[in-house]
Amino acid sequence: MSLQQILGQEKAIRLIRKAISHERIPHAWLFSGMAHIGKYKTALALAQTLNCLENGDDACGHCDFCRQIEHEHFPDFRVVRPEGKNIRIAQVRDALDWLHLRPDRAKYRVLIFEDADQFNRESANAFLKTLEEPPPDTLIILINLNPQNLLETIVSRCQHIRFRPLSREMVLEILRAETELSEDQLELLVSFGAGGARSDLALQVELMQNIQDSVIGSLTDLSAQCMESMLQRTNDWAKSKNEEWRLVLDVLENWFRDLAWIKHHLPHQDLFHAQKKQELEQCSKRFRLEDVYQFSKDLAETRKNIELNANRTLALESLWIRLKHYSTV
Amino acid sequence: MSYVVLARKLRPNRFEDLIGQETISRTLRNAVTSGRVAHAFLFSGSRGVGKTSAARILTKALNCLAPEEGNPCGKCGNCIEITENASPDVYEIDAASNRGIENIRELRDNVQYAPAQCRYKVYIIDEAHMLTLESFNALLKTLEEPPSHVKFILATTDPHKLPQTIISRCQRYDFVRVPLQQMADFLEKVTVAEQLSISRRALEIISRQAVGGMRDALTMIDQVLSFTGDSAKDEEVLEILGIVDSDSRFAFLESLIGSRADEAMTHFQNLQDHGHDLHELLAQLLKEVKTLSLIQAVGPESVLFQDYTRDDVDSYTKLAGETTSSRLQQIFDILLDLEERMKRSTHARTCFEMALLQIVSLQPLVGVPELLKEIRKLRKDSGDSPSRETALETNQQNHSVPDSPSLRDKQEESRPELENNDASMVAESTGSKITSMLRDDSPKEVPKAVPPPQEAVAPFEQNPEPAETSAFVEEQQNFSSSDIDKSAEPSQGLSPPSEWVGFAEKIQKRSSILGGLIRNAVPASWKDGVLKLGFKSGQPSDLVGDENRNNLESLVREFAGPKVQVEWVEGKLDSTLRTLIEEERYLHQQLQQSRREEAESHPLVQEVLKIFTGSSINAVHLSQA
Repeated sequence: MSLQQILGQEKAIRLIRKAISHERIPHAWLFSGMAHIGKYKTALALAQTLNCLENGDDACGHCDFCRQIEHEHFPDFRVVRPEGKNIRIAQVRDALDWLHLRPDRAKYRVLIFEDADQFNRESANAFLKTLEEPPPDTLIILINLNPQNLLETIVSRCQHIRFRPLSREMVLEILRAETELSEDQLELLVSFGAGGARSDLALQVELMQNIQDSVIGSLTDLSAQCMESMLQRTNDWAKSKNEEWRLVLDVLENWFRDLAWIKHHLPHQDLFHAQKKQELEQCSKRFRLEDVYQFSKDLAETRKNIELNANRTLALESLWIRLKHYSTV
Repeated sequence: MSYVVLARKLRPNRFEDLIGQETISRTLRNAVTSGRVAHAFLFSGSRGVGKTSAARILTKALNCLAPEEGNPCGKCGNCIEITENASPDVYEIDAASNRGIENIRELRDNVQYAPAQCRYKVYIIDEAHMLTLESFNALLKTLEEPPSHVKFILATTDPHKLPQTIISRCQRYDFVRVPLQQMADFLEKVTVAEQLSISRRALEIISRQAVGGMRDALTMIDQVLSFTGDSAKDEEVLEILGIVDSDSRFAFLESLIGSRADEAMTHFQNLQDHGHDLHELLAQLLKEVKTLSLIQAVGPESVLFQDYTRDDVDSYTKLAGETTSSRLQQIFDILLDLEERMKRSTHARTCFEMALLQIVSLQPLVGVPELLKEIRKLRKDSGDSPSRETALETNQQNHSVPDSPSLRDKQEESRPELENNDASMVAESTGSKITSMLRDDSPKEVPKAVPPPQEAVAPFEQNPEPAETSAFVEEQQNFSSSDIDKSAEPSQGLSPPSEWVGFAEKIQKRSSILGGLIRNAVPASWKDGVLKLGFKSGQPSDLVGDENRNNLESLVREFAGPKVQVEWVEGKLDSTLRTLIEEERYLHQQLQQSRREEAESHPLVQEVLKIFTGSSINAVHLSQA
């Protein structure tokens, strides 16, 4: 994939290409922005561009080097990903030792730290000196969700490029190209991604559809019967290995954002569930605005609790009960 | 040769080149010229202020073959070698990746050898805070008394992570953040030297963004130039660095403070479209809200705002005037909460939107003093006994102020002696009075003890059925007429049935065994000196036993005359009289009832009911008297 083919990040791409054309490539770049918006792809395309055998101003994508880099077989290209939860100091040392070797055949050695949010204190400090003054002809790229997760001393050593969330249309286009889903399913993925192209969720899309339907269904009808079946399903969601509870919370989060949106009489085209306007209207009569805020707070709380190992079933169930409690009709 | 970023290219080479660290550079230079150089230094300070650079300059200055007034020449062999990091006698150690004790042992073993070509062997231990505790301790002895040819320079951003024992062995220099104007001046020089054209305003923006870190500022300039080539317009600078220009920043803030949802969301959308990072946006908002609070607290003239432009301060002042500190506090809380939430949620943007909506729908907080004022105003408006207000305020002294007339009447009627008491104390004091009366020996006082006046009479008269009442009256008369020769007892007028309860109480006091019996018993009749007693519950009378009966009789005789006899009636006794137990229960209920009414009719309670329309009293909980 070449730099040109990366969609929706015109500004970032422009910055990178200008740096290449002005021959002012820094030794360290920090790519930050939410997940699934093309940061890694850009880094990959950049590595290809710098080493492409065609010597053009963009990666050709079919020369030996480009293809080797794409499959991470290239000897002068390395990606460091967290092992377990963190990027460990051993990984960093290993990568730095590698970095200090002369490039094997490439013009540029490229070292990518994916998920750079996951450095621990030791590993982050371990490459400060190298990050400041790496050997010539090397490029270090840090890919990161939120620069505030990094040490100040790291950020200050990198040129910072911000990647922005993608527009709805852009996500649709990307997903359409990358997956084989129906339009409805695409819509669903778009609303789930909230600015990111979650093609990784393509396999789960039916499950998501299912969850969304039943959650929204019961939100519009909070009868005792409905609650009962909901509580039953909650058990399945909580126990599933695919972390379905996350999807449930995501659906709720989006739905309540839409409720707040409607209650403030904001333009309808910006709703996540624009096609479910009627249900939203109906549902919005059920909850007071304060309760909408309170519930979204509860959602965040639940997410936190589950991540801290709370009993998922209980946490979700209590969420339903609170929901019932807030509803006025 | 690949491109070298400005921050590396422009590393200072002389003490004077350290921007913003004049004191430190002069001290170090004087130390070198006078030859009084300590053997261990600790350089601390935040990122990008010149710690590592200072360490390198000092190293060169110590080893330079032709020093110029303490500064390294930069041309001699030693200087060049050190600059290229090729000197055999200068060890620049990355303590963060060589943090173990084995690294320090190696260092310690090498320390003793004399330098190969330089005057001093210099160990620069950078990122020293990452050494392990063992390493620090292994270093202690060497650090205190190294061979004369060895110098140590420790550099760190976190000096508080170093053990005290290390710090005390070093000469410590705290590097300050580079002041804004000085940084901008330096950047201007840089741009001239590098033949770049960036406006002074843009440079100041960059300096502000760098928060005292020179490296940050140079990195930003680098970034701008790698995009634009040799010149950059102000807008380009803002765009590349992801800085929100002040106009849209203030517009956004204003719409939030002015609670305009649609406007705020449009601004938010725009900022997003311009690629501004949510986390940075949040950090910025937090900072702005803080600034507003600060302006409200200390005024716009404070030195705290000297790094702000005049325009910014004016805009902030204007905005600060449009809101209250409590509201700013609320906004700040929501934003802080949001920070926590964004860390966890996959939908940071959704969270952000929710928080913004929550901010625009914030109801103004009303403090307790304002609420009280409001209540008073309401009360005045309703025209209801305006004097109450003063009564409330001065309720300790101003007792004579009339309450609502009906209430006062009632109070006076029921217990004039309590009139002067604070309203809230009335119930309590009545309660204690009644209980004390209950225990009073004198049976005559029993009627008085019954609290509410309307029903407060002796148990007899309270009887609903007039026929029976008359029967008892008759009985009473019978008793008094058939008065047998009562000796001159103090209990002259005592008539067990009519004053039964008081009488029973007396008995109880004298003998607890008899008391247990008498508590449950009622008189069946009182005729011709024979007192017939029975149980309402119909317990068999042989429970009493002869001994008890005789004892009882002798007691009764003490009160009612020597010839009185006591007999027990078999079976269930239907009587309108109350046993002592029943009487106590009844009195207790009466007391509770009166206190409840008392509480409900209390002027403050009434006031609450009036103000909160539609409210009602669900339950009254009384403390145990």
